[in-house]
Amino acid sequence: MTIPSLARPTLGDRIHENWRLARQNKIAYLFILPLLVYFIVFVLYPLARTIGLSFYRYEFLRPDRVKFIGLDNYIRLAQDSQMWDSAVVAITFTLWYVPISTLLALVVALVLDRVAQKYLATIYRAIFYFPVVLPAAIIFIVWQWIFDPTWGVMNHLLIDVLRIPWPWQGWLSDPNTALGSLVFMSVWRLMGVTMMLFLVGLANISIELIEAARIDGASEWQLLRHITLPLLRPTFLVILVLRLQTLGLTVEPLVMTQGGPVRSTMTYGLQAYYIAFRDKNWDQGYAAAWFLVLGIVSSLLAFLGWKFLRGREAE
Amino acid sequence: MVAIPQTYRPRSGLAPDRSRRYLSGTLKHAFLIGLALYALTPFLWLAGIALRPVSETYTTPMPLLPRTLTFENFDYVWRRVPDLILIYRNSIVITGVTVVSVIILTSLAGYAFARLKFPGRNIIFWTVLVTMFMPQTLNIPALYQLISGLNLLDTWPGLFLPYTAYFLPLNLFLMRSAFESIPKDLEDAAIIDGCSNWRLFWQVMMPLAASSTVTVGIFTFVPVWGEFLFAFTFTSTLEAMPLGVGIKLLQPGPASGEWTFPVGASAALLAFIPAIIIYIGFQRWFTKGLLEGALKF
Repeated sequence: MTIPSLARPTLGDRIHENWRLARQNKIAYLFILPLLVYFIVFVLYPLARTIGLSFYRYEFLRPDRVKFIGLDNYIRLAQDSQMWDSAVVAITFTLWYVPISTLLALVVALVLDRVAQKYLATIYRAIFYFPVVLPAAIIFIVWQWIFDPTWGVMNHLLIDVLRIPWPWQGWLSDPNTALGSLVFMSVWRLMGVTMMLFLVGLANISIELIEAARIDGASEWQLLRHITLPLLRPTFLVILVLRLQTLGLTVEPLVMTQGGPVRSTMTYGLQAYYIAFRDKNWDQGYAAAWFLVLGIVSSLLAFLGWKFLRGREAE
Repeated sequence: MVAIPQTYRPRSGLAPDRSRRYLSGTLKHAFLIGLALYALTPFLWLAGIALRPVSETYTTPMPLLPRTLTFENFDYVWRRVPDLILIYRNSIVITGVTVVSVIILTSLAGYAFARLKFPGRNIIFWTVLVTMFMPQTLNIPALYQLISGLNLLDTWPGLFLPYTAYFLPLNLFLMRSAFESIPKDLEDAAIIDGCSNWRLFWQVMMPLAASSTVTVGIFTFVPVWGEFLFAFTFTSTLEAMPLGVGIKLLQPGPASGEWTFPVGASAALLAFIPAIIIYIGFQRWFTKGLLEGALKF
């Protein structure tokens, strides 16, 4: 004699149960269907196709020469000196841009958090966030004008207003300053987002905690070092994940410098884009390998950064 | 997802000790005003160029501020540059359709993912969400092949379809959270009254989630209005080319004759205007949206 089944549901039961739920909530599938169709056609299918492409010699303008070549694109990528050069440019940009913009935003948020007049704080906040909402593509062109050696307001302010005896130069046409100019513009453009994140983080630190520390005689510096910054860790986490996208920087150099002068702004993303859409025969199979490596590396870094910052939180 | 705090109370009165308050107050505001100038200068300078007559741009160095104000450049742009009107129209159609599609698709699906129980719910939701972190460039060769295969290069759908898809994951996440935060009691009451699923969604849930659809709308509008990469890749003629790319064709240069710098600046300024109107009109939604995690720029 066996005891009636109180045990775990078998696979059959689970399928049966799911089937019942699915039939009972048929309408749910109608609700998600439109989104799912879009998602499958314009996100999942291209993703699968990108992975597939990377194993082919697939030159868009030479459809007659399409051929399965296994890992050859990846082997070629690892040996491509352009890849390493452009990766260095992208990393250099990130190493300048992320610390500068994060630090500036942090300082701004700390100062803004202490503005006593609420309406003033609101106005400042709105102004600092303003560049973020302007259309990016047009902003890049406007900054080209700003950096222009004859028309541009940049040189004009430096030379004629501030009387700095700067040698005449085009910010974007000198290989020494082109990448730095892109950093300068990017800091300007997106500082508001980072600042808002810090403001939210700061507002969630309880005032009681800070007041208690103050009564105990903590200096402002100690407050910052031992209370504010550690409690902002989740904010730093979000910023890190967001800013890792910088490694794929493509549009700014594409619009403003086309990778020049002398490849000084030829980032990894831009080089891959040119391989896919400009260089000989549009080698999109090879470009797919470039993009996939970028995607994998940046998600891996985001994951590691996440683990690292989260891990320390548990201490 | 990282938990993003849901409350934001701007604080005040945290100034350190009274004796130093005045000095640090002055320093504080000097710093903030300097930074505000940094944030606004490019825009103000551009406006200054657009509002001056062409003759004032021929001297080097060009005067910082216009001596005479004029609207003749805007007039010129509208009357003499028909191309600009075409690309403006393209931008409005493409951005408009994208915003509306994203709102509809993510509201429907967000409701289902928040409130209906169905097999596959979690796996589908997370699959969609994970793609949010893909670089925008990743799929671009495959998307190009797809769009050219569908014969949609240089058409409006050739842009608003990929845009809509690209902005789905983030906004789905926002809409699902919005529906999850609506109290269950309301729904139960409606069900007891014999409300159908569809009516429940449309007449009870949607009005309650309306403010989140505004957030979704503005945080889709801003990046799409200024998008460059898809637009540059998928369009090449005035048929469907939006502002971000079109304006590059109209750049002032020594060879472009009539197309002068102030006219170029006016065209750029005209492209800014819808964004500025939305920014001012929906000011508080921007803060709200950032709190809810609409951060994709």
